[in-house]
Amino acid sequence: MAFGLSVYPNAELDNIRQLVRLIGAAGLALMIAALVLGVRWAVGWATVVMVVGYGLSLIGRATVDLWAPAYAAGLLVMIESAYASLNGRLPTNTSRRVLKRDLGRLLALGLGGASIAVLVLALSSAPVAYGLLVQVAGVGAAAAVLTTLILLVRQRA
Amino acid sequence: MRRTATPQLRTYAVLTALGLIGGLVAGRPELAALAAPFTILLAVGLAVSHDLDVTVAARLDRHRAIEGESITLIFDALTTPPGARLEFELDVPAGVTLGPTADKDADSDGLSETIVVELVSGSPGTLPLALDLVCERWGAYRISSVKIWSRDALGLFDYHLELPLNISFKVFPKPAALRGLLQPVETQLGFGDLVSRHKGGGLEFADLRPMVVGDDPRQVNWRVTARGRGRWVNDRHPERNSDVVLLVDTLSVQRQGVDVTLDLAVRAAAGLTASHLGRNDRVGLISFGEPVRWLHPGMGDVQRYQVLDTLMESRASRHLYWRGVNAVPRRALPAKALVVGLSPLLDQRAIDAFADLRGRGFDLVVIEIPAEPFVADPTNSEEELARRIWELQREATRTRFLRHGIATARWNPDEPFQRALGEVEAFRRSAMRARV
Repeated sequence: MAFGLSVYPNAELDNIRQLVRLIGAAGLALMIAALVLGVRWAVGWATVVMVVGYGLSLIGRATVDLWAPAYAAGLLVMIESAYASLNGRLPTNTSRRVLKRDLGRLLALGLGGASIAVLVLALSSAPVAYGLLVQVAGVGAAAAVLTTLILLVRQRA
Repeated sequence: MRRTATPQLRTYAVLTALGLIGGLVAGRPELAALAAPFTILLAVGLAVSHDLDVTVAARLDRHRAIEGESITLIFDALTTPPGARLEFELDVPAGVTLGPTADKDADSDGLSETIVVELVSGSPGTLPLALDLVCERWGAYRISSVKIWSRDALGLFDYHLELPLNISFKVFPKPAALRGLLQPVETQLGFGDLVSRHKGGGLEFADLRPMVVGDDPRQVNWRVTARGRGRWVNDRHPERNSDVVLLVDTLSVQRQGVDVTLDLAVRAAAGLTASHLGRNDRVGLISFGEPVRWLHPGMGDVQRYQVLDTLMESRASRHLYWRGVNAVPRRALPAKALVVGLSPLLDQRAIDAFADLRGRGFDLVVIEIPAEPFVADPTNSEEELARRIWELQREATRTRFLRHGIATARWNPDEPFQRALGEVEAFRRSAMRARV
């Protein structure tokens, strides 16, 4: 899955295509190293590198990437699987019941993530009158979401 | 329970920020769509996260078992809020393994003997979790604590708790079935199953003698009396018991892996204890080590468990002082007692103590626990020579014992213990020291 996510970004601009591929390869290498060496913190960085590569591949693109929801869902499943496989605890998931439960959870996360991404992509791609007010509202909403999340994390953790 | 953020939470937060900011800066809806699942997951996970309190009570169904039996460890877990899935991580001591738990998810990593068991706490009451601990080796065991771990439904927070348990239990060695036991030279005054060498009231015929004043008329042997040479009465042997003192040498042990000579000695002592107590003998114990520990001879089930408890505490240890067999009080080594030594004959102090006891006139038997199987094979000529010298020294010790009238036999652990007993009994018979 990490391989698919790392090779999927394909920039339309020639001058950044190699850079995107290089970043994708770096993300893949980081993920493989994390899984092989059992370094949990590297999973997060590998994911960030892959997302950066994906973001760069979108520069100069004329159309909306309709596979973005699938990419988001794949990213979610990959992160969950990677952390599950690097779980430092003893392997309780050897029994069939636990395996079924974990697979069901992954499937639900993937489907749910894809659905949400499709919804957001559809809403954000909708042809609405574009102006300063909409842009300010969008930035404000994003800032509000981030601030709320930061406050929640600080409060709960 | 202590709550900590998982790495997923940090990763999702970074991806959310990256996606939202990147989407705004680049004006790409794909990045917003990419960040959306992580944003929702974070928001929901943070909104529904809560503290998790758990109350766990642990108990054993019993605190004593024989090797091969199982002890059930029961957890009663109550979580607030209910419905949490808990993982119990136990450090099970070596010698105890987890039994089959068909309806539980359990695993062991084999090295640290740690097991993890999972259960979902009930609602609203407690849910018991029963774990079968299979006792594979004798000893006194203690489970000091249990680590409890849980994770919230979306995997954003971990909950940890380490609870002290202080649960202890004892596993007694499985006593070997012995058909024949050693016959002591002298019996004691108590009633028992042994036929005494002395004459007195009893069932076993001993001799005939002319009747004297005071004899019980019921003892008259009418068949002999009818021959007309006066009145004759039967003499009989009384049924008596004996005192058996087990002397377990813990001064030195030779080990290979888990198997140690002390292990064999304890198993032999457990078998002898059970068999002699079954014959109504009084059994005492001297754990001959540093320090010397003893148990006065006694009878019955209480004594059996006391002997086993003392055997559990038998460990090879080093102390700064050494008082030898003189430290043992006279009551622990009663006169006419049959002393059965169980020793690998590795420590000169133990060898000297056996010679000392024999010199004091004790009826002494030494069962040698072979140390050779626990010694590494020689790898060069020097080690071979050392091994041969060592074996010659041990042979000389055995010969010295036999010369002093100490019945000595080697117990091959692959053979029944009964065979070693048979060897020493045969020696005692041939040396005319056994009961006639």
